[in-house]
Amino acid sequence: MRASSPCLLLLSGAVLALSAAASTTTDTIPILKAPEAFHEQLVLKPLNDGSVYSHFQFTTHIGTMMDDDHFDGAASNLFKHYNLFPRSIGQILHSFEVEELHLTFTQGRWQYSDWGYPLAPSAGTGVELWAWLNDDKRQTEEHWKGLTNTLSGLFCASLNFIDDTITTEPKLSFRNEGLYNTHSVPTTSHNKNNSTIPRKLRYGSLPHENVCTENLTPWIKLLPCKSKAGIASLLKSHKLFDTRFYSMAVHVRSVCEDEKCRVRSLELIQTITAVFDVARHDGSFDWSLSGLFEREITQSCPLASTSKVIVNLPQTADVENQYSLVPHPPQGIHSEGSGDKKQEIAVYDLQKVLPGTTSPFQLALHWEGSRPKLVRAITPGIVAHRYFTGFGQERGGLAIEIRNNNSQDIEAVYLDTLPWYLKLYLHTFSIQLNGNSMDNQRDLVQKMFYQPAVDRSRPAVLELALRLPANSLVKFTVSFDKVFLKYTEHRPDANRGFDVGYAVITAQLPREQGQIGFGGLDHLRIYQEREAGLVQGRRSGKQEKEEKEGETDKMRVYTDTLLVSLPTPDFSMPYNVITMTCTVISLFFGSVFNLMMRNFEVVKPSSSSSKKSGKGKEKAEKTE
Amino acid sequence: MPTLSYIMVAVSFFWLLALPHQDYSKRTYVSENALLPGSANVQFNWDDNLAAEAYRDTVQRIAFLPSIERAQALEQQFAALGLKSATQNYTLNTSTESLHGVNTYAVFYAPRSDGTEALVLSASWRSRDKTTNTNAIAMLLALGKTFKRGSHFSKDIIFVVSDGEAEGLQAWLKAYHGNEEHTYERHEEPLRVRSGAIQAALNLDFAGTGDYNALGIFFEGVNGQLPNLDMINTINLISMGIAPVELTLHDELIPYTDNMTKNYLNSLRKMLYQMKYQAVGTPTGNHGLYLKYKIDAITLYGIDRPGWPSQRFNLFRVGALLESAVRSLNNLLEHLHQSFFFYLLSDVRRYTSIGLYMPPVIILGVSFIFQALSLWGLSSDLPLELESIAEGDKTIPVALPYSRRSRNFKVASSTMGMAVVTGAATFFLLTTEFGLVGETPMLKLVASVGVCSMLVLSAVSTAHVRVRIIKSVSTAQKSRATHDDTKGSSSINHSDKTQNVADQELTPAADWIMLKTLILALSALIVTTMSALNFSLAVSIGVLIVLPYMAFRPSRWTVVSIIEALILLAISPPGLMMVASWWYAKDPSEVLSWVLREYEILGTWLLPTACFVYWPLNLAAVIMVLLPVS
Repeated sequence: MRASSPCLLLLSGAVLALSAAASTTTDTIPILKAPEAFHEQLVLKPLNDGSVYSHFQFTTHIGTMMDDDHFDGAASNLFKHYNLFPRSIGQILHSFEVEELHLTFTQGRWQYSDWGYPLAPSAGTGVELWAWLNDDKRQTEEHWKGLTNTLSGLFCASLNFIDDTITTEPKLSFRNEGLYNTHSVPTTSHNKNNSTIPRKLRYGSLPHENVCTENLTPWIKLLPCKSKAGIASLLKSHKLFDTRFYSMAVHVRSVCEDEKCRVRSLELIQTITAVFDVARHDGSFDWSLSGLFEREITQSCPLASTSKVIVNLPQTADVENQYSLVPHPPQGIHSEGSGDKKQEIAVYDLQKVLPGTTSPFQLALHWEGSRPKLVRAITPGIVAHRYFTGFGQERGGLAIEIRNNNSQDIEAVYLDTLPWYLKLYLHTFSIQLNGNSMDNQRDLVQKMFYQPAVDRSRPAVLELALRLPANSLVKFTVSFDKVFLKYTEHRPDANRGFDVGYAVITAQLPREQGQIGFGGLDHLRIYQEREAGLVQGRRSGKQEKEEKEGETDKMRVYTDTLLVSLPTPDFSMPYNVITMTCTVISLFFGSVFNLMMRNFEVVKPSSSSSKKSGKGKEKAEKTE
Repeated sequence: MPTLSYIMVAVSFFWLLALPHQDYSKRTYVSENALLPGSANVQFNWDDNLAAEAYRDTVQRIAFLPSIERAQALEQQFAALGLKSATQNYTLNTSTESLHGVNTYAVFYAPRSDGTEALVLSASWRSRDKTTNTNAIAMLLALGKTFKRGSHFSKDIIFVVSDGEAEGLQAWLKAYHGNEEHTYERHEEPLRVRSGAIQAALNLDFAGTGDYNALGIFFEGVNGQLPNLDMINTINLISMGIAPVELTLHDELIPYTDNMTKNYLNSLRKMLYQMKYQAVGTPTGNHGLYLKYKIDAITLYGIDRPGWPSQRFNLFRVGALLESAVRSLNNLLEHLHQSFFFYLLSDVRRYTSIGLYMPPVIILGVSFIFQALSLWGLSSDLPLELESIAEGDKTIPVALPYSRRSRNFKVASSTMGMAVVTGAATFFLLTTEFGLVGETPMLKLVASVGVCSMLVLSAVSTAHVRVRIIKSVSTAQKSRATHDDTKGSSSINHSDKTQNVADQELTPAADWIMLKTLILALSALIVTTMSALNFSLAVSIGVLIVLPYMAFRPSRWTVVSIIEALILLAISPPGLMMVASWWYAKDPSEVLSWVLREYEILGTWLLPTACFVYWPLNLAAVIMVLLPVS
């Protein structure tokens, strides 16, 4: 049974060997000759509020993993020989049987209503880790624990705190991105069979984890050129951590390299997203590469197959020639989309630009009058806002507002994980549509998964499949009680409160203006010359469908994290009691001990003449 | 025991008077080490000062526009700074008036922060001086500009410009915490921009466009709640270091003096000022509204007193002070919890902690209890002996062991019950709008006073009638007994005595004793309980009632009883209202509608306490002094 399931993407070598034995039909398909490749890209986009969005993406893909029919044996080298692919990641994947891994460190909030949607799919504050694990041997729990602990060591982060009380297994969100990704054909028999592989999803997040240079350094170490050459040489931590938003991610997944998904590779995508506030000091919206990063690119990474800087030009409305881009891209500016969705893009191929000159790569954007006159406003499809209601330390409520700005109904999945110390009352769950309470919740909430919390062992998970009406504001409210914790369960900073992580909304959104890229991480594959033909082909093939329903992208929208204050005892009281009792005991003990041990003697007046000698004697006795 | 309780009252009074004395207060100190007041370099520079002055002109220009227009103008100003801003409409219909306004608020999202915590800087359009709060609003805008430059904030900063007096900020705070209402009485628009949990707030009150002599701190909140003392300490340290200004409590400037007595009197005045606001339950500024939501807040008030010798300061100094204060609060790692939440301030740099000021009010409560206990014992004691043992010719009266006179609690409890019902009725009468023609709060109060006097009259008259009846019955019995005796033979003396004894056994203790016991016990309960909730209110009630309630009793001379009743009437709520209106030279109806307004808008406890607790006790006391003696 195992051997006959042909589309297994098993990362363990043993199983691969097993599947190699099976062979049925033969078909001639191109075999990727390069077993490993590395691509580096930097996407820059001036945002409407004067900030500059920068997205570094480094893609390493390894092996030509073929299905059983076309297996050529090369892939069996996977995880045995490392060239570009970082060994530390490879070993983790291998030993914990990880099929897919997504780890994101984020500091700051992504302002959806101002900035649209980012290219990087995860934007929730703190650390987010989710992985699909092979459950063949039913060791998911141990593997997950091992994975979190190893990654914790690798990235110098407190990932080991993702334990059972935090980990969840969402039923609708965080689907497999690998073989189910947009480039695969979802209806082939291969993919159907895929579902028989026992796989388990594990998801955990730490909302209050700070991200700093100690996490960046190991991240840079995974790159083939480190930060010595190429785009990564711009990564200067002083500037990166002086931004409005900073996010750093590692994604590992297996992707299809051809139309029918017969050739596959394992892809490691490392991204850094930073939003610079260039208007902060003098109000000028002008920026330059060297001004943003205080570093320059002198050469592209020699190991990189492609090395490109992509500038998404501002979407100016009506007024032409508001800005100038220096230097003008050698290949000219091309545009994506049309009408309101039109996005002009300038691409610089560093492998072509840099070798001719000795000077570093320069890039700057100047606005006429240092500020834009008119830019097209952004209307993100879905904006969500979650907040606590009520006050006091006994009970509270949670309110979630989801605004659908699209002119069509949107299917979305809402995932909320709440710690066990908030006792959720599901009967208080109520829905308001545009300010009016709804009687028939079925129209809106099509499915609901709820996992009640268990004290001190697992969180409450609420997952809703929603159908959001066009141009609407949907508001959910639910009440909870706050648990009185044991005094040892409080953190050292007890009066700060506890962080409650973000909620995630996953939705298929039509491509509206204001999105930085289409298709998330896959967007940049066009620039990797990897399967540009494939992407373009699929795009043109989908053209007819597109005309009808328009293209959609799967987006994840993250809400802000929240702070909840639980009833906190006055911790100085135990301290007072301890000091008090200690004082009393020591006083009591001291005086009693003194009374018991001290010997009172009458000093004879006759020895007044020999006082000094007597004292000397006493001293001598004592020293003895 | 009664003497002891009077001694305790004296002790308590002296203790209270000693509280402002220098030796009883300590110097304040910053307890929360994370605050580090004034340690950050201030970024507010001359350019920002110029910006503030430009904003001042803008604010002056829009100040007299209608609410909605000026709110929108301000919203645009905040948006131009790059802050997320919005407006909020609210409507509030009380039983006497209808208030409508528009608040403006803006959020500065701290770069790279997770937005779980926030600080609030607020100013209302109207200052305490009833003029436009121009400088404060200009300051908010200028600070927004300054903060936008920095990247070192860990907490979001919310700027709120509220309309009206307290109701505007209250509407905003309610909506921020998701408690907005959509009824006819109260309508608050939900907020569109939000941040995290608010950790602390500074409310600005800098009226006019000029310079200031000193900075006043207002800190008393609704129902006597107080912010953490570290809020005041922080401003205190900053005002001595990085932004030197003269600091004082409230809006009273007192010259420095070495004179002991003068110092004492000044401290006493400051303390009384604080206690007055706490007892009444009215916040001294908009900061008081935050405290309900567990947000520590104070109001900073610019005092402009021409001729005062201290150096005058302008917006530049205010900007530096505020920025430094915000930076300091931004340093907080936890919610403010280190320093005191219960304190009395005798000076901006001296405090008296709860451990020192609680004993006198507890002693006061205990003195009530002692008095009540002694009366309770008295009510069961037998004035005469029950049994007489014949010893030869003589009879020696002997008390029967374990015998007690029965206590009749009916009159006392029913009187008290009626008084409470009357108080409650008054409360509902005052707070409900009936829609009758010419309906005013004063009229309603007069009506309830009428009801109360009816109650007193009926209770007193029935009691008197009842006593008459009992007396006539007993005299009839007596006469019958003597008649029998004369008919019979031997010792008249003896039988008369036993008859007397039997009489005494029949009649329980006088009703007034029982009623007074009840009043005293309840007073003790109220004073001690309230001292934990609102110390100042407890002290003022305790001090006011302790002597009259303890000393007054029905007298054989009607004149004395009536004088006592008059004194009690003077300290009854309507009496106190008259006194207050005389003191502040206002119309009594104004005082009443002010109390009503405070209750309806802010939910202060003064009216409920007066109606449900204080007045019933007072009514019962009036009835008590008018009851028959025996």
